[in-house]
Amino acid sequence: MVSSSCLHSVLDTAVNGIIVIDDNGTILIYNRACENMFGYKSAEVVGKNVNTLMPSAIAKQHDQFIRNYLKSGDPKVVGIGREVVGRHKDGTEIPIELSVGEAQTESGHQFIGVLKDLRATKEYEERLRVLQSNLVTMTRVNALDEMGAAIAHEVNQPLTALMLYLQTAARRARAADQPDDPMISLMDKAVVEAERAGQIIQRMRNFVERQAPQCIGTGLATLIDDCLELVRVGHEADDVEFISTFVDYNYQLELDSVQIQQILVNLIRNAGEAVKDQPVKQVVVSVERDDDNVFVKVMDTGPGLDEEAVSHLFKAFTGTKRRGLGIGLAISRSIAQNHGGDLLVEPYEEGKGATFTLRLPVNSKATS
Amino acid sequence: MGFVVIYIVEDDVSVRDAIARMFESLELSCTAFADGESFLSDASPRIDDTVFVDLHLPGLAGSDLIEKVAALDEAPQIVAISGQPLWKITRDLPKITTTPVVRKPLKEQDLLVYV
Repeated sequence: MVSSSCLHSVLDTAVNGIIVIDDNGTILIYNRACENMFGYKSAEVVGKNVNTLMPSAIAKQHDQFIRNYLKSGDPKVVGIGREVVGRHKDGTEIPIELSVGEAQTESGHQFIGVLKDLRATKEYEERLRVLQSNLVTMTRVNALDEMGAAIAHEVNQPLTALMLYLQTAARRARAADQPDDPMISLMDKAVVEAERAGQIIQRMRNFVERQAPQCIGTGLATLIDDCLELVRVGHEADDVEFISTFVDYNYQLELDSVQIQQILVNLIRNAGEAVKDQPVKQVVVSVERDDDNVFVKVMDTGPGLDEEAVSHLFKAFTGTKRRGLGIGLAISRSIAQNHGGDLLVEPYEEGKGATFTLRLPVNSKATS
Repeated sequence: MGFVVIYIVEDDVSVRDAIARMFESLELSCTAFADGESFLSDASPRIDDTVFVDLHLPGLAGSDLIEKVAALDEAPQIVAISGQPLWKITRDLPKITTTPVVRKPLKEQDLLVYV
């Protein structure tokens, strides 16, 4: 037989919360992990109804839940386990993974609950979710912006030439000895239409201009850690090692964190893909600094990129990956350039993996 | 006052030609260059002249060219031309000068106000 003191030390050693109640819902046992989870001391809750530990909406119904189960034997949680919500002494709600067992004892029917605090897990999942959805949105917005800006800029040139040619021709026609009025009228109409096309381009450009980088002071080390975390999610299965060697957590840089994150995630994800089938699977992010620039390097232990591959690397729509448009690096580079920086690939070295360098100016002037 | 010259530094061949033709049709003397380097080596602008500089040039950047020209003794009037978004223009333009900027697409009136 196990002694009672031994049983109590087992209960108090458990990482998970353990609560035992009787068939009235009265708490009989409440271990130390529960004290940390709920903020109540054992002495405060033992002998009270377990619904003290629940948000009021559920607390009201809990006695009925027990009665229903005892009457019908139809389990809703006993032997199944589920995610529930508890209430801390200070009123905040706590996500909990609860499993419940039952026992017939000399003193009656008892239920044993094992509780796992999900707060840390939830916060982490939520943070990752927000980061990921930001990135997805930004990728779409940037792809559109790039196209819009490219069209605006490319069409601008011939349109400018067209407008000036037309205006010059119209003036010459007016200055002729015998002005051809129908011809002049046609040219004036053409000028109006060219003007209209110009206004469309301007509107398009105004739209793109709203997307200028929003630069604020950002902790670079934390930003890199976040990126690695995001990529790790997709690489749980293969044992790729993602490492950051930059640990100066006080170092701040003026940048648009979501946009820079997008570049780094793109680079780190590519690196992860490149090392997947290699004997050594490692991706290392390091940071170098000089007076004017910060260089964030993403190195991998993959097969490296030869000259042929490098020459196509930053062109849109030339990607070799089955997924994606091959627009990632082109956009990444243009984001870097919008920050006053650049994105470069180090020259190929036999036996070495690929290294991409993101250069960012220390005093980024990319604010609008 | 001597003979006033208008200079154009613009890499796009049709924009350069169109601007030059427009000034010529108004009987203004006009010389065009495809890049900043050839302008600096071949042109000798004077104080009454006007230089139109496209900000987006191959080689020597438009902003650097503007800085160099503005630093000349008896510097001519300088006007920047750009098809870039506004925030890129403000980032690229030298801070010290108060260079006016004409944005593409443009009409002849946009250029004629400066000559």
